[in-house]
Amino acid sequence: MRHLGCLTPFGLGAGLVALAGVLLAAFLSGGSMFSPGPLNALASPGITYGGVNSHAALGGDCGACHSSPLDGDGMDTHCLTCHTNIQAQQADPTSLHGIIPASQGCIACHSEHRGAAASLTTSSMADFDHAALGFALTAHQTTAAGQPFTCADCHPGLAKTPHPSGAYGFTASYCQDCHAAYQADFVTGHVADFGTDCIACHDGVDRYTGFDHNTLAFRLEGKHATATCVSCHTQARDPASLKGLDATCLSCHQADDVHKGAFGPDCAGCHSVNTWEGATFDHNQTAFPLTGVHIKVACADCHGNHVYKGTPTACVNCHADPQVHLGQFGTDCAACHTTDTWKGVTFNHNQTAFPLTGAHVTVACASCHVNNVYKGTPTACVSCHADPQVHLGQFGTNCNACHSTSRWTGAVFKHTAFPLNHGSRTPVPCATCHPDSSNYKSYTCYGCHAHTLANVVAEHRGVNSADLNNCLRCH
Amino acid sequence: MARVAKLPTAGSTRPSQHQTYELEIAIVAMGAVTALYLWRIRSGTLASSDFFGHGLGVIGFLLMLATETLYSLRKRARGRALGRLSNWLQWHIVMGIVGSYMVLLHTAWQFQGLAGVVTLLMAVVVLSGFVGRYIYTAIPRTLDGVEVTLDSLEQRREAVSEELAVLARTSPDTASAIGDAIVILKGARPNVAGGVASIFGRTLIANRDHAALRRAIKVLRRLDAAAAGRAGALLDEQITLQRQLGALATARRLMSLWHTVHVPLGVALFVLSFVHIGAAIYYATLHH
Repeated sequence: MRHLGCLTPFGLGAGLVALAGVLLAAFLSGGSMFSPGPLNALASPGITYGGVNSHAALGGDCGACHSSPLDGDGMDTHCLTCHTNIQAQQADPTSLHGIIPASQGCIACHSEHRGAAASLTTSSMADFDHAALGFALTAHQTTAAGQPFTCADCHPGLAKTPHPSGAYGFTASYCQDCHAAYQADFVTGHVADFGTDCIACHDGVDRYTGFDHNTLAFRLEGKHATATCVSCHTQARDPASLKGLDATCLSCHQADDVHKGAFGPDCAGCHSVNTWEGATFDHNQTAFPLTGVHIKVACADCHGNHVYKGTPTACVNCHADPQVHLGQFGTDCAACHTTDTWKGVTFNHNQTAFPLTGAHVTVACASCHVNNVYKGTPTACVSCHADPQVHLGQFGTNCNACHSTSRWTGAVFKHTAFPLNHGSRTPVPCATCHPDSSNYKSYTCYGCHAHTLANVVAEHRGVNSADLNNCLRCH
Repeated sequence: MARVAKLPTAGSTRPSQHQTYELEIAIVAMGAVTALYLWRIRSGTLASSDFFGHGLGVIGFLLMLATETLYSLRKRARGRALGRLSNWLQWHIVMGIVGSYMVLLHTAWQFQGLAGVVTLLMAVVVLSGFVGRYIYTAIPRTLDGVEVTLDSLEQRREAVSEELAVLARTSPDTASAIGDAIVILKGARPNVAGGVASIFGRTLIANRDHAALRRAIKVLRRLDAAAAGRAGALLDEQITLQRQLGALATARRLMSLWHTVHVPLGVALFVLSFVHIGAAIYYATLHH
């Protein structure tokens, strides 16, 4: 008889022996003979689930996790029956297990029979949607040393074996510990600027390493290049809020504006980004162009306390009326002085109530203005020119009535009420009527008219004899 | 009883042995599997129970199961146009080696419980297979891999001797040269008796014979090239037939003994494998 392949007596016998051996081993060892590997034996101190502190403590009780398929409940139900803490997490959407769909099942991330000290978690970071916890791992693929990130890099509790309770916990100090290791200065400043709650701003996606601000409309040059981010982005709490910042100078330099807004919001109109000093303001564009010595004057000499707007332009605002003026020339320095020097005064006397003409023009100021008294100087001629002896006090003090300011000679006397044009066509010598040259107030009409006292008396009967020489009284 | 066949008669030209490449193919396939395995574990260790691990185990087991059953069936399908038996053996070996290698990778180097026993038994069966293959090749076969009979070997040996005698009679020089060569061969090969050593040490024996043949051929160089070539070929075949005839009985006994051991080991392996598979399905699949 030919046997088909292995169906020899020895073959059949060996098969039966093998089967019997399996049954015997199963009877003696329970289900452990089917275990593909040792169960996890790592026990967290003081923590028990389902009455045991590790899976290894279950021994050969396969049914503790592997229930009969006839029961209808899967292994997940058995897992959660013991791991009540995971049940609680599943009800909390902010927790690790709360964001994982229950339909995914424990087996998606966890495994067993991998050794007494092997990790029960098999999923890699790439498989886990860490972003669902509010922090994506997009920027945390490799460490600063170029190594792939492990969970324990940010959750140090996982580096301990066995894992302590809450090993997946996280505090922001872990961020600082890592980042300070290779960018200590930045982290120190960044924490000082924004605080220690990294997660409040960072979601794991943003990453500014290599970011070039100069690719934006607002290039960072000069001092701006060394400014900290928060210097301008004071309210930035997430990547989106870094955008749309007011680009005007005053939006950041409001506190630096010593001009108190006097020059508007455009600092760059006068200042460079390298320093506040060395402003290039063109004063000549203002209503008060700088000329002469004013060009060299320090700004602060006129603009005290950095008040630039509304500075009065009157000379006296800066230049107090000097003592030498004795308050006589008012506050308009420019009326006499230039901005080049105080000397070389160009006073125009003709602008006063007493224009200088004739010989007055060449007269020294002090001739009239004694003791530098310029204001209130009387304009009457007699205040300077005493009535000369030759006038014998007969012509009053108004020199100007007869004299010009060019010279004393050539006076033109305008005769009084008595007309000189009667009875003669040629000028009549003064002595004809005023025989007493020392007294032009006395006169006589007898020099022209052939009158005698007798005739006059005869003609003027009834007239007071005292008036017979005062012809003008009646004529 | 193994199938046997007759050798060609004397004077006919022997076709070259059909070459098989089971080891080369197996090495290439194992290299490909290894590359895939290394790529898979680049980020961590492999778990027997994950998709890739299970894939290795399932495919490897199917290869082993197929190679065992299909080759066994082919051996019993006589006279049918199902390809050369040597080709079937080639693929039987390739699938057995590659399949068992994949199963080994499937273990993830964990050898606990029944799975560990199955792995150990598999290793034993594979090693046994290598031994069986070595014994198998000690038995002369036709180009199709069919065993030749003892009578056929005897007839072939007689035919070769007769042809040598005819060749020696062509001239005194030829007779002298062939005689000298035979003396050299006999001196260098004091015995060609059978025994276990003739099977497991046949490579060494063959090397010894080839060295002796090279010395014998040197004395044939005084003949013309055609006569020298033919005489050398006949002497070569003659000493080969002598080795085969001396070891044939032992080889057949060893082959029978090997079957007696190998088949039960294989059956036990498959029984335990099915139990392991059933347990894996029960514990690792149905309950999820």
